[in-house]
Amino acid sequence: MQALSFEGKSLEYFRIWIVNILLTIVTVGLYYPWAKVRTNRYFYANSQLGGRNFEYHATGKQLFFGYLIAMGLFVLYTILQQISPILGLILFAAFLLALPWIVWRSMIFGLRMTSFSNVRLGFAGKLKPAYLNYLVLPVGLYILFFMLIGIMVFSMKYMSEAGMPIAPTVIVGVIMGLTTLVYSICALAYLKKRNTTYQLNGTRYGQGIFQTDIRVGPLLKYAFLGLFFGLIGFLLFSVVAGVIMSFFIDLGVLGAIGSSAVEDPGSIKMMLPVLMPIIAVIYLGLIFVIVLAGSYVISRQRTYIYDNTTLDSKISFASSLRARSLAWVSLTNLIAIVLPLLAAGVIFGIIQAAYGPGNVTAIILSAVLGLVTVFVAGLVFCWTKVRMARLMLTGTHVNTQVGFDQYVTEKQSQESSLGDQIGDAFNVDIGVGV
Amino acid sequence: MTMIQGKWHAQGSAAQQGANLTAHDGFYELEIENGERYQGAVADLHISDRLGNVERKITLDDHSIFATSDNDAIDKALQKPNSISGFIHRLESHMGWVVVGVFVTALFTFSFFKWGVPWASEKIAHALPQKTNELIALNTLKFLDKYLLSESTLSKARQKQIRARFFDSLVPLGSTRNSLKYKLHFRDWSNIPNAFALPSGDIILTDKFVELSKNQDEMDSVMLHEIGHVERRHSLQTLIESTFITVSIMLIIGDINFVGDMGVGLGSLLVSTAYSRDHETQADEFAFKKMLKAGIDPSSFSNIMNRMTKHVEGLSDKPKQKTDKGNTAKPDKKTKTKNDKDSFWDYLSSHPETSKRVHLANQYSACFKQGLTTCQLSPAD
Repeated sequence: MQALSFEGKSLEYFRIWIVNILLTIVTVGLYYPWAKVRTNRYFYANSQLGGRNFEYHATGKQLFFGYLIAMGLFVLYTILQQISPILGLILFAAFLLALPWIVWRSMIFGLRMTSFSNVRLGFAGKLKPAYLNYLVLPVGLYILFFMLIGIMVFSMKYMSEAGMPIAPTVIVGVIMGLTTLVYSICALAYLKKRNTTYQLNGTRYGQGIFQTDIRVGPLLKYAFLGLFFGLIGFLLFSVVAGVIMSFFIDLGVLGAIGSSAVEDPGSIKMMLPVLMPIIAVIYLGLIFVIVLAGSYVISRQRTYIYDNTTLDSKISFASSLRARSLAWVSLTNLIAIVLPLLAAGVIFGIIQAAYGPGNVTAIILSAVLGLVTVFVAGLVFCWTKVRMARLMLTGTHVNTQVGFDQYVTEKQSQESSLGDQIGDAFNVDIGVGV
Repeated sequence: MTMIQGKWHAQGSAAQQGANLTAHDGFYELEIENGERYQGAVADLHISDRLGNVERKITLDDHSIFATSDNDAIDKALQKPNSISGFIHRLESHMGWVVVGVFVTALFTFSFFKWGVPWASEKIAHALPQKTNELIALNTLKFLDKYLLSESTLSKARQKQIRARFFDSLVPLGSTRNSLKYKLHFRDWSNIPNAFALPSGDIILTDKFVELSKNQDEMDSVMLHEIGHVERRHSLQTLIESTFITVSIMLIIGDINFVGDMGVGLGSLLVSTAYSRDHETQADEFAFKKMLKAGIDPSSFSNIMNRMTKHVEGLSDKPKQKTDKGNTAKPDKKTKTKNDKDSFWDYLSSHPETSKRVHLANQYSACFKQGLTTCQLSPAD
C-alpha cells in the first residue's frame, strides 16, 4: 500500500488564487472558466502517487459556453425568485427535476477531463439510475419523513385536545420524535449507499472498472454511533457551559427574562445583551459537536467504503483518515477563517467609533484595513484548502503492486460542459471522494 | 544547450519511461530509455501552460507525452515569449504583482459595489418598461392585506380629502410619466405609523401615520417622499442590485465552504442596506426639491419624522412586525449613542438615521426661508 501525497503549497496557491480573482473581476466574470481550470489543474497535478500525478484537461474555452448558459439561468433564477415566491417554488421544483441530469453530466464531464498517469478516467453510469438515486428515492424518503412528523404533531394535538394527562402525551411525542430521528438516519445511510455505489461502479480508469460492494449495515452503524457521540457530547458541553456561565450570569435574571418574555414577547429585544453571549456559546458548542461527530462518521464510512472498493479486483484501496485529524483540521480551518474576519470587523468598529464615518482618516484607515483583510483572509483561505487536500490525500492508500502500466485511455467522444457548469453555478455538491 | 530530464508516455498509456530532451536553434531531440528517438521543430510541440511548479506536459506529433518538473529549463529552452499564459504566470510568480493584484482587486471590488452596481441598476431600472414595475408588485398588496394590514378606520370624508390633495396637487407635482397610474390606499397596521410605496404606483398610508401628522404639509412631505421612490423606480433597482450582489459574490467566492457563506451573508447584507439608505436619501431629496417648488417648508418632514421616531420608540417594548416589501418612510427606531457619533450598527440599518434626515431637511428649509425654489447644498456641510 502506498499513500497519495499533495505537493501544493499555500503561498503558491494563494498567488494563483488572487490572480484568478483579479482577472475574473476585471473581465466582469468572463475569465471565470479559465480561473476554474487553473485552480483544478493546480490541485489535480499536485495530487501524486508514486511519481505519477493526476491532471485536469478541460480548457477555459471548453467550459465557456456551458458557463454562459449556466450564468444566464442563474441570473434568471435570482431575478424570478425575488419577483414572486410562488415562481421561486416552481423554479425550485424544475431544478429538482433537472438535478439528476446535472449530477450525471457533471460526473461524465468531470471524470473524462481527469487523467492519472496519462490515462483518462471516465463514467459509464446511466441516466435512469441517476433519476432513481437523486430524485425518486430522496423525494420518496422525504415524503415519508414529513408523514412521520405529521403523525407526531396530530397524535399529540389529538391527545391534548381529548383531555389526556400531560405525561402520556409527552411520552408519545418523545417516542414519535425518536422514531423520526432513527428513520432519518436510516434514510440518509441508505441514500449514501445508493449514491456511492452508483458513482464508484460507474467510474472507469482507462479500460479498468471500479467495483464497490458496500452494504447499508456498516454505514448505518457509524451513523448511529456518530449520532450517539454527538448527543453525549452536546449534553456534556451543555452541563460544562451551564456551570461556567452560572458564575457570570445570575440565574434569577434569566428567569425574569423568561417570565417577562411570556407576557410581552417584545421585551426579548431589550434583553439581547444578556441573551446574545448565551446564544453564541450554544451556537459555537453545536458547531463544535457537529464537526466532531461528523468527522467520526465521515472518516469511518470512508474507511469502510475504500476497504470494499477495487479497480479490476486487482488494485485495492484503503483510507487511513482518522476522525481526530479530520476534526482537528476542520475546526482549526474554521477558526482560522473566522478570526481575521472577526478581527477586521472589530477594528472597523473601533475606527468608526473613534473618528466617525465621514472623517478622512477613518476612510483611509478603513481602506487599509480592507486591503490587509483581503490579503490575510485570502492567504488563510488558501492555506485551509491546501491543508484539507493534503489531509485527504495522505489518508488515501492504493495497493500499487500490480502497477498501472497496462492501463490505456479508452476512445471517448467530446462532451459538453453544460451540466458541469450548471452544477457549479447552483453549487451542486457532487462530492466524488478522493 | 541544456538537457531536460523527464518521463515519456506513449499515447494514452499509463506506462512511463525515462527520457531526456535537448533543444537548440528551434529544434529538439528526445531520447527515450528504450532507445527510441524523436526529432523535430520546437514549434510543432504543444507545451502546457506553466502553473506554479506543477509538472509540465509536452505533447509530441504522435500524441505521446513528455512530462517534466524542470519548469525553468522548459521556459528557457522551449517557451515562446510573450504568450498570454506566460503573462499570467509572471503575474503569479512575482510577489510585487500579487500585492498590486490584491490592491487592484480591492479597489475594483469597492468601486464596483460603491458606484458600478447602483449606476448600472438605475440605468437598467429606467430602461425597462413600466410593465416590469407592475409585474413585481402584482400580489404584494394582496399579500400585505392578508397577513399584516387591516381595513382603515379613517372616516370616508378624511380619506376623500387626502385623496383629493394627493391627486390634484402632489401627483402633478411629482410625476414625470403619464403612463404611471398612482393609487392611494389607507390601511390600519396595529398602531404603527408608516407610509410605503409599491413600484406599481400604489402608495399606502397607515391610520397611525395620518393620525400623527399634524397638518397637510407634513403629510405632503411623506407622500412626496413615496412618489420619489416610485419615480426613481427604487424597488426595481433594489431587485437588480441584489441580483448583482448574489451573482458577483458567487463568481468571486465560487466554491467556498459554509463558514464562508456566513461571511458572504453578512457582506451582502451590509452592501444591500447601504443601497437602501442611498435610496431613502434620494427620495428625501426628491421630496425636498418638490416641496421648495410648491412652497412647502421642508422642515415639515423633519417634524413628522421626529414625531414618528418618538412614537415608535415609545412602542419599543411592544411586539412589532416589519415588512421588507416596498420602500418605507418609517423612521429608524434606534436609540442614539450618547456622543451622537454613529455606531457600528448603523451599517446594518435599511434607513439612514433620523437625525441625518432631519439635518438634510433643515438645510433645505434654510433655502426655503430665503425664498429660494432650488437649493445648492455644500457637500461638506
